[in-house]
Amino acid sequence: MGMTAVAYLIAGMLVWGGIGLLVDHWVGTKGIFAGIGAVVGIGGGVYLIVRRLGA
Amino acid sequence: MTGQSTVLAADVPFPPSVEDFYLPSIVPWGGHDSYWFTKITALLWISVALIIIFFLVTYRKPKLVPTKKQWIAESIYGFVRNNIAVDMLGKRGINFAPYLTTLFVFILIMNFWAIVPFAQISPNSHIAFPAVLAVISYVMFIYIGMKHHGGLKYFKHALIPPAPWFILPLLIPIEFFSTFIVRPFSLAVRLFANMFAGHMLLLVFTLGGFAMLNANVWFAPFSVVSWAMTIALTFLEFLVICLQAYVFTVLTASYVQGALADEH
Repeated sequence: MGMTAVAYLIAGMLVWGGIGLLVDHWVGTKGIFAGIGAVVGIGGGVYLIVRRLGA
Repeated sequence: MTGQSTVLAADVPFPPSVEDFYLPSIVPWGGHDSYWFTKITALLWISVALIIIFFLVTYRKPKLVPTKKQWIAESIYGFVRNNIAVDMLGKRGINFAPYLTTLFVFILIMNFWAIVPFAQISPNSHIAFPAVLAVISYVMFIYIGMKHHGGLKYFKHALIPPAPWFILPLLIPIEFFSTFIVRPFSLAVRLFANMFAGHMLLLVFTLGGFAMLNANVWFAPFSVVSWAMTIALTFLEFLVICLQAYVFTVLTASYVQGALADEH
């Protein structure tokens, strides 16, 4: 179960941080969207852990 | 330095590199254009043969009061069946016990070559072997999930968590990434990296001893420390070997568990 939780957190950051990075690249900003994406992603990861693994 | 240790040290290159994992060809002996049969290949086939012969012999005439060999074989199977398969999958776990036991024993034996004298390298330190095992686990849990939930419904079940609709676009990519992309990759890399690093560590401390013996007279006594570390690290390797075989099996069982899970 621990592995699944860690996987969700890292996956959340990587997926939305990565999408943010692509947006940065496209818009021409220097990393603001990657930062926002990583925060949003880890939020989603925490939400998923609560829904999937929580009681 | 004495002549002999100089000769010894001259033979061992330091530091070790990735090249040390690519062993010379056995058939044809020392060939440079064909690497189809090396020590890695030999160890693989020896492992397979050992497992087949061991379980055939020990289960040939099973007794009610088991002999020592039968007891060992039954203990291994019992351990995986009760402590991994049934523990994680419930009653259905018994169906998966044979595969999980085979997987556990195969990885254990393959890893174990890392600390067997004269073998001294595990085939699992080449990523091809863990990768194939991970692909088998990956295909298996997806197939089982599709069979259990009925075709594409499995993906609906796996990708769409119980959540309000407006948050789903945020969650589905995370679910997809963590379930269908990270899993096989992390399974393979975890086993490969552990065996690779273990072999590298033992090489560094063994060869480092020779390097210090050869360096100058003040370093020479510390080569003994380096070799003592090698012995200590061999025990650590033993721990890692058993742990990684266990972890791979448990994670495979846990992925199957996820595929079989019903809506709650």
